[in-house]
Amino acid sequence: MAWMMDTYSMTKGYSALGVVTGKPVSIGGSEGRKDATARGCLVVVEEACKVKKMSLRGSSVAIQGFGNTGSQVAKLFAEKKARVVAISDSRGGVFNSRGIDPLKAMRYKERSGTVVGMPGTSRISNDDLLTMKCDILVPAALENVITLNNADQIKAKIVAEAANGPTTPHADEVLARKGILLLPDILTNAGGVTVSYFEWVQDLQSFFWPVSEVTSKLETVMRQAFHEVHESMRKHRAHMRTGAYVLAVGRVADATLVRGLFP
Amino acid sequence: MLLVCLGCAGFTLVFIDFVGRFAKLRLSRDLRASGQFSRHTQRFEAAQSFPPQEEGKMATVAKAAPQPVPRIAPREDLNPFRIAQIQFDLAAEYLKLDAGLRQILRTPKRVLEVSIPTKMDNGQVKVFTGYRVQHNVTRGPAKGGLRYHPGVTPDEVKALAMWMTWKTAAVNIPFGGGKGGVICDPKRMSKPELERMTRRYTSEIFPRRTSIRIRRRWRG
Repeated sequence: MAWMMDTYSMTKGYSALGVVTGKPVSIGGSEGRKDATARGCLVVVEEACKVKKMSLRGSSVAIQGFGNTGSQVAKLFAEKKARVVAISDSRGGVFNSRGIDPLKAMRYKERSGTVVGMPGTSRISNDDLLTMKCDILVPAALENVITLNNADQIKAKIVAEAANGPTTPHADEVLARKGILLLPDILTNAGGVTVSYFEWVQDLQSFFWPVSEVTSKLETVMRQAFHEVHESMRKHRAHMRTGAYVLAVGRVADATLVRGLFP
Repeated sequence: MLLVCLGCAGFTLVFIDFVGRFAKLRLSRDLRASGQFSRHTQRFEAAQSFPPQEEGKMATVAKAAPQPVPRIAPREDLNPFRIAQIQFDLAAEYLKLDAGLRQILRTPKRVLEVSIPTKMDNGQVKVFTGYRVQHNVTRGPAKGGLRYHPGVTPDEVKALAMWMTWKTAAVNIPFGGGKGGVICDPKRMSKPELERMTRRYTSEIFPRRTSIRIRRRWRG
């Protein structure tokens, strides 16, 4: 991102900070960008737990994908005293019903390139991870992992989509019929884009915030977004994804109608 | 079933149509049996048949898309852009948007494809293909990441751009939606190679004139 900003700035002839986000802090990046997506996901899951009358503390979490987002999600959930029972990456997954320490897993992955074979865990495949018994399932890796093939076998109470597009439309219907609360990608992983927006705002003002301010503003935005989506879902008696879409599409449609067509 | 009949193009359309209808029927029967989603199911089905005149075109897209994993249900269309459109159509059905507005919102505003000539470390030139899609800029600048992956396709970038539009709108921040992608394998490239490619990509998607600017002076 620093390269993109530099290339743009050199072409323009002046330093343009607000042209691209996700930059290093030294050239106008925002604090708290690294775990922004994960933090947004955590806030949404916390609110969902309140709605479902569950306690996040002590509930079991399975996370598919241990990259930038997945590992940070694991870390933040563990800080909230949730039990991370399974994690995985492209080579396969590992499982321990008493909980896996995400920090140890991160160190192990750094050394060996994968989480598979981590001491104190047993092996589990990526497919079995999705259908295992747990309270919260976080797909944080690929698109189209929850399909008609496995949707009816999912046992989690909450599915939080940290990846983009992990659930197909038909699988959505199956999950809704089973009473599983699906937290849609456009809400759950919006923490990243929200902090990007904060970075842009800071760049335009040339006034930079401490990490505490970024985090608290992010939590406010995500909490409000969750409640708006939940309200929209209840109003339209649809599932959560459609609730989020109705809210989002409604806003864009409104803006389009108000602006009108040119010419 | 899709994989099997890829060879005989003549039958493929019929097959997809048949398979799709079967899946729809089965699903709606299941949902009706449960009773609680009947209104929702009607909308779900209505959304799937929008727009009616483009049915044939959509089926062709589905045929062309490679389906590498036969274990995943072949009756589901896993093209990300098609999925994004189905999700949008369902919401549009709830909001009762008119057809023109739907057409505006279900297609990207701009799609740019660029080739990115890059000098590799061994001195040879390699040309990568990159995309930049702006799905919507009504609420603000088109925000969206950049994906370096060997499996990048235009449809995937379009879908991600569309999802970005809804994402920024869902959390109510003043951005539109966009996404970029370059077909490459960053794990097998060195840092200087990545830097040269990223800089060239940035300069390729930079808005600029492609011809020499001719100044016309008024001579009195």
